Amino acid sequence: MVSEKNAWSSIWGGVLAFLILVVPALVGYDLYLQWHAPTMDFYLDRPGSSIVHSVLPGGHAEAAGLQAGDVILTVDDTPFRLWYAPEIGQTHILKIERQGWQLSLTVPAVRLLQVNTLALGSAILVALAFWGIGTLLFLRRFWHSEIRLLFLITQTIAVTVLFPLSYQEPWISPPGLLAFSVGGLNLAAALLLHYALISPVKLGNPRRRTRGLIPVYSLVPVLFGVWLFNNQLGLQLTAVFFSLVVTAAIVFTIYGYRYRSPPDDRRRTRVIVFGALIATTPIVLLYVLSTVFNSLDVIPEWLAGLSLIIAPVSYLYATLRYNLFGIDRLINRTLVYAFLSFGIFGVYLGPYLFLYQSLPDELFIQLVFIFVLTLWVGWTFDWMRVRAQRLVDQLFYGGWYDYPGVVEMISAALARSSSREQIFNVLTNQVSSLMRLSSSYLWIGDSNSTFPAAPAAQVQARFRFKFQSDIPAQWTVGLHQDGDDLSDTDHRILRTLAEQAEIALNNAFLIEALRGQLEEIRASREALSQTQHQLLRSREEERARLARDLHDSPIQSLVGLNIQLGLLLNSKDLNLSTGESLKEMRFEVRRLSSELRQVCAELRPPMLDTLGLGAALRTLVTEWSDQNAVETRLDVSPDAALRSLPGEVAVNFYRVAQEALSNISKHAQARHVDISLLCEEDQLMMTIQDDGLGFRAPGTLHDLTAQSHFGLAGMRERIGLIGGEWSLTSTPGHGTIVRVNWRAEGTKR
Amino acid sequence: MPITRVLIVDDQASFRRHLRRLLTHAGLTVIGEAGDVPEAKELTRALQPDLAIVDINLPGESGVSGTPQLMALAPSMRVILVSAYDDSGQLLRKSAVEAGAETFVPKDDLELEMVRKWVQKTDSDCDSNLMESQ
Repeated sequence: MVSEKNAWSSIWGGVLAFLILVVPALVGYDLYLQWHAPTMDFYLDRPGSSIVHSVLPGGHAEAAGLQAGDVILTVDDTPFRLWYAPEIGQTHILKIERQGWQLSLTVPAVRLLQVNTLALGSAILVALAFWGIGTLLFLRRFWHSEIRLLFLITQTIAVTVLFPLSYQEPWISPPGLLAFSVGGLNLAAALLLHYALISPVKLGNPRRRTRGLIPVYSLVPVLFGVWLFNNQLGLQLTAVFFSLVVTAAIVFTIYGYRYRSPPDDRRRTRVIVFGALIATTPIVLLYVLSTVFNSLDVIPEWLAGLSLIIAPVSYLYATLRYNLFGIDRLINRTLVYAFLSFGIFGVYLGPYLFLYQSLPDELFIQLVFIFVLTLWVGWTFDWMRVRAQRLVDQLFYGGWYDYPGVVEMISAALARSSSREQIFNVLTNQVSSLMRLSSSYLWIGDSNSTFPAAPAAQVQARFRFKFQSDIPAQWTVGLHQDGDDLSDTDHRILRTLAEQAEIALNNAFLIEALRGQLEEIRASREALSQTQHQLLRSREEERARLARDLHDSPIQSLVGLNIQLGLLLNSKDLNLSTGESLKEMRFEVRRLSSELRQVCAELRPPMLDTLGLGAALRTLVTEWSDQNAVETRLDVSPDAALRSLPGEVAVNFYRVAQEALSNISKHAQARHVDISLLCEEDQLMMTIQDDGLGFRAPGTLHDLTAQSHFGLAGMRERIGLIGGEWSLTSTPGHGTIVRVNWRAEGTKR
Repeated sequence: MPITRVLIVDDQASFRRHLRRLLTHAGLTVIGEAGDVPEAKELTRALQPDLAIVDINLPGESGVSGTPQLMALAPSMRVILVSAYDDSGQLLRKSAVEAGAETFVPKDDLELEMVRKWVQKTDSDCDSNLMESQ
């Protein structure tokens, strides 16, 4: 479950990671376009106009004599509005009108990049700011769905703002780039709404959120399609869509923030929420108003561009200030590796540059030199890493190590520990290596015994752990590895860890005690069951012995007596009265032997030992059916297969059938009973099903005995004795099914 | 009248004694007594009796499963199974016949008249066989 989720996260994260490349690629593309786009270094007073607003100071246009306020009429004899695409470096003849005079000026075409530096710079700055913040958070916590969404939003906004901001003069903007902005604007709005629904608090349930978001997301490509066919209509619809969705997002954000967030979250997300609101408001005003009222410049464009930066900056501030997503650790690591890189650079390059001059110009010697240098870097790497880490930790925490990291890791390790060995390992090994301690030792005893004495000078902190009324454990901590005393912060952290360790240790002791008790209960249950089995077995043996004794001795005597009387009755010299009394005697003898046989049969069904379980069951069922006037159907495997069963299995199956039939006649009021006994390879299965009243079947063996179903419990015990399975299914009004299952391997001993 | 040579298979010595007397009275000749199936097999192989009276409840292997083994050793021998138990469901009789025995008789029903018929039956069987062969 967990691993599946992780795998899914990493696949999803991997797919998203490709998107990281999109913004840098587009920035590169933008630079490429502007490098190759030709223009002239003057500005018009507004897009579509032909009046010069200003000229680039020190540029070619200024040198040619172009001034603000000039009206450009033609370029190379082409009307200005139709003219496009000069070639870079080529000179063009501009015909202008100034104060009623017409002048011709020769102005060379230059690269757009040269003229547009300010706009392009700010555009790239804004786009990379969004890109950077999103990417930073994503790389840190890409498995958070919230962070993934935020990442998508930042990347989309970066794509959306890049081109409009970097071409402040639409008359020189290459066509087609607006597509990025239209698509991006719609997608960003939809993503913002999505984000508002799940952050800072999740609103509604997942299904309702999905149902609400699907139409919003599906409108994004639709609007893009509309824009492709009709630019003006598409832009207007986009503006309406964007403003509606963003307004909805703002409403949801305020609602969630105001009514649904816990106070702590509210404090932490305040900066983000209001940063986002401040950042989006001018854009909404600018784009919505200007598009809907058709180019009404309410707010200057540069203000919109700048306000956009507020969102990532506020997010960054909140992240750093409140350490959202554990950002301090990330920065800590980044700094460590930055220092480390500088260190390696210095260690590697410094001697190289220094000695390069004096080295002979021979490849082999230079290779050996580089090899030795590399070895040296490898040798000093760990030393540098430790120094860099310490330096950064000192900058960050003013101490020797990453305190929050230690507390976090040890707490997690303690929470995972459930035995005293694990806790011992955490406190002795992990703590001492993480906190760089010379010694850390956990001593666990049995009760209030004396603790082993340690040299007082080396023990800097001592904690005793209570369990119930005892103090069975003591944790002692020594100096730092470098011989320093423990600082106040160290003591504070150790106290926190000790409190958690005490809880973990208490839990471990409790678990041990519980486990011991469980073991005892299990053992006694096992013993009880053994006794019961023994009891059942010996009772069965006793009955068999009694039956055999009866059969062997009194019955045989009566049989012999009967034969002798028969012979006597057949002798010729016999008078009538003697004959009559002999006949009476013989009748009596037969009655007696018949009664004894019945007792025998009840003690031990004779069929079991001679004809096997099948025959015995057939006899039992026939007799029972006659006695109770219930229709029965018996389905039994051929006798030969059943005759080779172990005697214990046969007799216990027989007894279960006997008990089940007896229960049916006592309680079920059944009209029909189905009995089947099937022998397949090494498996024996018996089912006894009636169509009687049924009852509410109890769950466990314990329930069986608790509810006085001793007969049922007995069946179960018997089948347990031979290592088989017994089950009972019953529903009130729908009869009862008893199933018994036994496998040959189970009884091989 | 040919001699009918009988083997008694029963684990009870007293019953064997009583049965021997009964059979002798009826004119049959008891040529051997066995206490269980292995012993009976040895005697059957050695003596080739005409008839074996076999108890069902023998120690170890029962008379029902012993019957086919005995008959394999002496193909012309007839087997009658007996038991102290009576047979309410005709089950014993059925399994006796299935095992190859001629019939099943509860020990209580052993009568002189019946035993005499076993001899006669042997003869009539022979007669009918003869007639069929003619």
